[in-house]
Amino acid sequence: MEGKVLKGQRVLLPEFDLAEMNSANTGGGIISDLRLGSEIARLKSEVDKWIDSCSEEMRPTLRWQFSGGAKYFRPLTVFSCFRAMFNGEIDKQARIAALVVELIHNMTLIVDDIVDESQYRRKKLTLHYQFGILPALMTSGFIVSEAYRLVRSHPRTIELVSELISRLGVAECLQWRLRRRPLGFEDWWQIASEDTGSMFEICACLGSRGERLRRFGLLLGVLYHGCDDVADVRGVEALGGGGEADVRDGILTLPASIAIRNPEISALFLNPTEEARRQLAAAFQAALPLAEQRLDELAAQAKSEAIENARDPRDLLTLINYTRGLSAR
Amino acid sequence: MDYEYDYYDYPDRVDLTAHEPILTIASILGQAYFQCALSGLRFGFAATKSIVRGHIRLIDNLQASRNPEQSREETIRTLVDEARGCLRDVGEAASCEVRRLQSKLGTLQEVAREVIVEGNHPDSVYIRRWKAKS
Repeated sequence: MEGKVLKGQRVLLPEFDLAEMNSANTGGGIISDLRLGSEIARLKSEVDKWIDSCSEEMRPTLRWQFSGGAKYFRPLTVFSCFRAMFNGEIDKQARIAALVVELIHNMTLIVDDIVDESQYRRKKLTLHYQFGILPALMTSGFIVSEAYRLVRSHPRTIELVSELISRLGVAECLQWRLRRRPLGFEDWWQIASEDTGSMFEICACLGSRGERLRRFGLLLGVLYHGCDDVADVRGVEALGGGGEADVRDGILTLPASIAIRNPEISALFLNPTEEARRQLAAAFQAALPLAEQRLDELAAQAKSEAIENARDPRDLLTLINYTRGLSAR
Repeated sequence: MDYEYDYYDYPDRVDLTAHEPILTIASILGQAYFQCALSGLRFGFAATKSIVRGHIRLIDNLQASRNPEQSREETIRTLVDEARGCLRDVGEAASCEVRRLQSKLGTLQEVAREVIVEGNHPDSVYIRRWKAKS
């Protein structure tokens, strides 16, 4: 393996991919349900064109990072929010915004995989495992500079992209500085809202070109984060486990945040020995009904935000229903 | 037996220390409500002051417009400019008040967190408790 520099042993978790988004869950898939197949195809070709226009030195890492497996859920959010407010053909500015969001999202994945020492992402080796840490870090910086170059003539987009990157950085540093012991759902909310929620919040602002759908974006992002958490616990539950990798790594998933309200489970969570892991997995599974209830509440809030603030909320409601369904995958 | 039953059921005999965290939480929520109400009043006062000032300027400008040297167009432009300034003032007061309230509620959140003793002890080793979603 080229660039084998770390010894991380994360197992590959089940993931839902673009093919799944196109075919499963809602019959025709979310992309076709939103009638955005041609836009997503166009976005993919724009990503390819952008990579071809980049320095030859960076192309192999960029191709690796952007090839296959992407779900394009963030660009879908940009397009849906655009339609919800303007009800017309997707325009050039929205396409650039979607492209930039996809770039920034990939930058965060590269950095995240390095920090977590993850070996796999999207069913293949992570960028730093394939090429080494230095090329991966440089690629992430290169992506950010390119993102700003692409939006150089859109001051508001620059402002929003800056807000997103700085929020992600601040949240990460704050968590590191406090080294806090998680106590419950509120700690999960802080993670989900600043990690995934902030990205969707910015997608909503970029798509709607205003602030009216900001909270909708936040709620959609947190819902996405929570449904993915529940799916991870449920997915491994089907195999007789219970989110084994998450338990081992001390990941605060939504079910875990509910389960650790019990002080005994909390103590085990802070010190997950081999024996404790089984108990923790069982406790997380027991927390699933409450987690689903929380997700239902979140979905309901997101729907009312969409209905109250969008001119045509239909696509936003489709997006929420699809996201809510992800926890059962 | 009757005596024992009365002893445990009688409110005065209940161990109040066991209820202390609950009282603390109730008090925190009460303080939060007080801060929200105070914030609303403070914003209402600031907005009223700005709007009243805006109206006074409107009247002043209307009086000045009697001056034959000032055109109607100039008067309208002046009034629009003043109205915009007044709305900016109200908007700034709103953002300022929201920030202040958020800070107060954040402090109360910290106080609430401290009710759980283990929450006050930071982990010596940092554990990153999330993974980025693809």
